[in-house]
Amino acid sequence: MYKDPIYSHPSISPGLPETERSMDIAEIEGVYNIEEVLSAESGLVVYFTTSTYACISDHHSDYYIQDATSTQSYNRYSYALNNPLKYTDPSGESLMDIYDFDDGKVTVTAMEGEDVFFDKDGNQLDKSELSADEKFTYEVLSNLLRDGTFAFDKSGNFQSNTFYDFTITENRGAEMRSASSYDYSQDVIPGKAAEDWNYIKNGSGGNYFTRAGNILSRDWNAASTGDRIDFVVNVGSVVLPFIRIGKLAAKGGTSLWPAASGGRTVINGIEYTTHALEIMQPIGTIMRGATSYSRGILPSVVENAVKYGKITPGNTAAEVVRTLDNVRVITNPAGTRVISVFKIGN
Amino acid sequence: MLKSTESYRKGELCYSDFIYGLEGALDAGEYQDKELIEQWYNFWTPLEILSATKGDSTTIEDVDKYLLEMELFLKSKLDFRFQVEE
Repeated sequence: MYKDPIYSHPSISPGLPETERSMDIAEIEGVYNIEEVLSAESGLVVYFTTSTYACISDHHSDYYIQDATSTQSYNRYSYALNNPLKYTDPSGESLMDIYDFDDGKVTVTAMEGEDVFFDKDGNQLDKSELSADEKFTYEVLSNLLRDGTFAFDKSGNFQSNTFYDFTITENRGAEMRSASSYDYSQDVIPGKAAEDWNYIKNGSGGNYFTRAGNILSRDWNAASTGDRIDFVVNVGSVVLPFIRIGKLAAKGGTSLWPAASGGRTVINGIEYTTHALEIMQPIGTIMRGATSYSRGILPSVVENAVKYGKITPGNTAAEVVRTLDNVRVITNPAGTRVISVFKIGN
Repeated sequence: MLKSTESYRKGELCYSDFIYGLEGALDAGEYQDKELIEQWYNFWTPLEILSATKGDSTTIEDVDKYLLEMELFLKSKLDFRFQVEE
């Protein structure tokens, strides 16, 4: 194994015997993306980039076992679990996740595995002091960070199992509830993959996204009647995570299930009755006795049924029935007002 | 289902509870025959339209025609033996 003396300099691994400071050059190249490495013993120069020096100056930090379950924790020479795109290690003590808040103007960090989060101004949040909205967001983030393995390009196409980009733009105080058995993949209508209502299922986390970047999950249903969960994914191809937490108004985001109270609501130019909107709420949010009255039908699914559905007469000339696969929508003849929605075979 | 239809006719159930009780009973049956389920929904759809447009103010006269059709359908299908919980 080749050992280059320059890597044995005390600034790299202070306080260690020289034998332990030496590194395999291939290993260093793999970790630090060295532009050019030549032997100092042969009289040639070893070149590093500025960032390379920054990495090496923090190199001693990895003597801590940061994550006992990660084999990279036992690699003394890997920087931030050998994943510098996801983690940083500014203190030299332990790795941190990299989160970029508020359009990249503020960068804050959270300790891996310690459930620490920050507001958009970079102030650390204490879970016990969070408001209901923030607690919910906190839990959502915890789940995403734990299971988060999603990546989308700017068109909303699923790219890889590497999570790095989402934005929560709004939630309305709903508490997280789990264990709904509803499978949103049922809403996928074959042959319409190019439409923005197509969902992408993550293979392990049980989370779903629309191609428009709306995040869905069968694990996150609002707990009480009228509450809703509105959060959208900010898709993009940047490498660093981009997260907003807390009470943030939607900025260019779209709402999924609008509030079902207060009469009519217009979504994308279509008017929905309260009756229809109640049925469309996520499963378990509106109950009749012990039975969920809400069926979890998205506006985008309704829109597709209105656009592509087979039309049959309703009870009167004022209604028509539009059926697309297992979704049946009752509308006015013009298709501008949705009276009711249901699924055939819930 | 037939029992709940009878209960509705007797005024023991409000219209919305009746309509969604029917659907709930269908769900509870966990039937796998898609054709049968679609047929069921074809008879239930007019009832649901009335629920959406008139709600609990729907009268027996409004719904009678559709209710009779649903009852005939249910009686023709021996598979539908389920009843709404009392």
